[in-house]
Amino acid sequence: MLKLPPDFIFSQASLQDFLTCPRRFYLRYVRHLVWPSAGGGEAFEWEWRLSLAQDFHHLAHQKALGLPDQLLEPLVQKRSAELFQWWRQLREFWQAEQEATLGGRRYPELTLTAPLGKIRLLAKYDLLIAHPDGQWSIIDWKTAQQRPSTRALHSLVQSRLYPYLLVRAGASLNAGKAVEPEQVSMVYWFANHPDNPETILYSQAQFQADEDFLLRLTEEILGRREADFEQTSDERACAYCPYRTYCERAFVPPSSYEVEENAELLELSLPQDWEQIGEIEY
Amino acid sequence: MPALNRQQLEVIQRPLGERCFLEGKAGCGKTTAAVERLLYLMQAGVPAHQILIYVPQRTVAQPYRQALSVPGVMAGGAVTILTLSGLARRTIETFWPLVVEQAAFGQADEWPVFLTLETAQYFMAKLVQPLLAQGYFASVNLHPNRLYSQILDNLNKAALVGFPHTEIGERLKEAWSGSPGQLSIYDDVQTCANLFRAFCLEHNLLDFSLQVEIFIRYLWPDPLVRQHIQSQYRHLIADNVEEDAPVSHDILRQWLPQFDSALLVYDHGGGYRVFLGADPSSAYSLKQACEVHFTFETSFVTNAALQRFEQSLLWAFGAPPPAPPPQTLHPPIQPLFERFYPQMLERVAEEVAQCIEEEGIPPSQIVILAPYLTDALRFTLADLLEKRQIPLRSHRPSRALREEAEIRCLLTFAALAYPEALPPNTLQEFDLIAALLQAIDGLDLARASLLARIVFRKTDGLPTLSSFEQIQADVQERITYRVGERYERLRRWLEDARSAEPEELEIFFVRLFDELLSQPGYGFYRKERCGELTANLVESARKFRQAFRESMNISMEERNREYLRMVNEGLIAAQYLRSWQAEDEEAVLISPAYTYLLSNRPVEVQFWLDIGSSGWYERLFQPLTQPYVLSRRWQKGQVWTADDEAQVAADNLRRITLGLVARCRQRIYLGYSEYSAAGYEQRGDLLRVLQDSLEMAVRRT
Repeated sequence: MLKLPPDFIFSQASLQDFLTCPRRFYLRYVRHLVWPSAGGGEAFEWEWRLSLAQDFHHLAHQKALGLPDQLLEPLVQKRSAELFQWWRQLREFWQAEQEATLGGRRYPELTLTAPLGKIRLLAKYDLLIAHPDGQWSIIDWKTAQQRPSTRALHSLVQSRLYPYLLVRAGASLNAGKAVEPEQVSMVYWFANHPDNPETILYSQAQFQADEDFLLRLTEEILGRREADFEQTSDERACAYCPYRTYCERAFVPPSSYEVEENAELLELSLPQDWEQIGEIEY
Repeated sequence: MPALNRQQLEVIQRPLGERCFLEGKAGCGKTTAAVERLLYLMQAGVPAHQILIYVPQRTVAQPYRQALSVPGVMAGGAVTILTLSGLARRTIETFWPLVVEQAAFGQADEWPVFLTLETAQYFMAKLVQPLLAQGYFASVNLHPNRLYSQILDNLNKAALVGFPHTEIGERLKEAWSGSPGQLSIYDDVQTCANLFRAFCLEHNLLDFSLQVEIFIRYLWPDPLVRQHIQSQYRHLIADNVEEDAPVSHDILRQWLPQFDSALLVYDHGGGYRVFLGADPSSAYSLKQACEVHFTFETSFVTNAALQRFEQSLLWAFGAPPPAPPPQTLHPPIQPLFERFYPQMLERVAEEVAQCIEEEGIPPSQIVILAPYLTDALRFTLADLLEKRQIPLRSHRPSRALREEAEIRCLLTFAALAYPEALPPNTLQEFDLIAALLQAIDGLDLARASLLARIVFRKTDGLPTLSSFEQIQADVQERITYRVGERYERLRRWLEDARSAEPEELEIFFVRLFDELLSQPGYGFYRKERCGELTANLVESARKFRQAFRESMNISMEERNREYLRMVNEGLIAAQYLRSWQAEDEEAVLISPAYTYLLSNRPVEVQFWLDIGSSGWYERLFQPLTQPYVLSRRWQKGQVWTADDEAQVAADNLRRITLGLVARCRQRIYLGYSEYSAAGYEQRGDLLRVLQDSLEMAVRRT
């Protein structure tokens, strides 16, 4: 049976890694292999986008904590035109949705965790809102240039894990009362497409399906022998993987169509730091 | 759940609303009780996200992290684990707009840049070097890197103890009783500290000291910030408070009344991080802020024989003699006395092998401790144990990047690709020999030397490589054509890099690794250690680049030069925690004694090397700083004397020996050689104390 570190907790990043490429999961979380990632000239573009994404998440957190806009604005303006544009969209969204999507008790950058079978699961939410009518909204900020399709978004582990964990662990935020699946919705809000958010409504049936899915997936991971963590057959997934050269895979650039369709998944194939947005602790 | 005694259960099940202070020596189950208290709180319905685990360094929190990851822990939020440094940095990041003007940072519309140890040293070096040329620190015989780090250390002490950094020089001078020449050195220290602080403020750079100071002076007192932090966490567990600094204790003291429950854990005999600002007496004063007090006395770690030995040690340190033991105990101390140092290491390796093979002790339950861990010691022991197929791991976090042969290889090739980056004649033939040995698979020392002697050229002191094709045929044959082909590919690759547009160094290193060194026929091929070291270098270069702001007006070429120069000069590398996390846990650990003590992990067997050395208890030579004088306990106007120095050495000796014994379950081997590694006779105080206590133990039985 697989030997994971004693304090290992499954997150959307590690689960998505396994689904994208079992070998990557093995190298990253079991072997802890550190390998120089061959980003080439594009590395700086990715790094820049990563830092902007981090800044945006940071800003959204500061706004949720009540830091005045006039203190934040000069910092954003100087940083980059793109970030400033996102910031303006965020302000408008905040203004418009103050009483609706964002109305209620706010939990920015909150982590929830719950056991499932032999493991624990963890999710760090950008913003969680407990509405006065008993409904709960999970807000997730996305800064990808292209808006992923509804299909791509629904296929993300995040779309299953986050609502599932809120139902499983939300009682701790709800005076000990369970959060029912029907009370939960998840909103992906796109800084580059603010008028086109994606809302996923949760249900008892989906909750059950997600529990089965997560249980099956984690049991499959735990049940594998080390040799069974095969490389993905889709070499396009290796394009920005830090282990591409370790696995002796060639660089196969994804087509622009694929980039648009799978922006989110591509982000998930980036070096570890990228996935740690909002999951960094000291 | 581990087996818990009545006292532990009492601590664990205390009602909410109380602030408890738990003290005792190491190994008495305090952390076990604190971990169980955490789980008990969660079980009692306390939301996990309202619980804060506060520790002096992250490694101390490992038992908590482990306990929280098991499936049995109930669903809910996540417990937060923080150090003072983490709390400060996290708060500054979040509330930066509140302080940027108030603290007079120069770039009011820019985010902060958090400096690593490396980048802080670099900027310090940049500021101090021109002063060295002017005669600053002229009478100090110290490597420049240690000079920079000691000035930074002073700034850190000022922040952690809580006095203005502008008082560093004055405090050091007041306490000085030696030659008057030293006083001007302390003035130089003050000038450099001031310059560095001003530079950081001008460019929004935050080294560790400034992070702590900004947090303590501006953010912690701010009502919005205080309200945010205090409403977030309602329950506190603070472990190893004795290893934390006074400002940390100040925060806890102010914060304690606001918590719905608190448990503070204090280790008797601790304070190993004095050089990092730890202040056990300041920590102990927190006891007064707690209503309920507990003391644990029974060790869960040491066996009866070691407990007897501990009593004998206490006697040797001045305590009353212990009562005779009720029964004869097998002695827990095994001397390994030899005439020469290498023989002693050989004996140690033999005994380690015996522990593993004959007694079945797992390698992870064995530690080899030394006052200092030199490269030579590490290499010799690694070799001796490897011959016996015993895995070894080492803890030496302050190792410079260039001390790794693989990194030196990458740096040599960078210097060949960018010959103007380093001063003329920096690169020598032996650097190339060492690099070729690392880089080309199948190359031996004789051939590498021959090849380097022929191809390594200098024009105006700048290095170049000539082609393998220009070498005479018979010599080519000696070197072998296969090696020649590999060398030629490497040379052409470097030539291309040299003639191409300059690129960021991190990209250069990744390409060199990716396109060449990790390919079949080259030395890094399929070597994970080489991959990790290259990744460390890449990360270090990236962090270096990120520390520069536009306001500094520095070009990429200039920055690359600065980086290569800095690494070449051996500035200490930032700690790469991932290497620690990923290390092979099933290996024998070799570590400096203090580093091991800080990891707080008991083992079955310990080997103490070099017990005749005074390095076990003497302070390091630090002419620019003084942890005791810059502590909060130091009285203004007091003078540091030889008696103080002797007292510190005696305290250190007591603390370290008792601390190590408390973390050993079965047996301690004492490694002693009449002559040290350098060939000197050794008669340090540790040897005397051990002899006295062993004699006492024998007499009593």
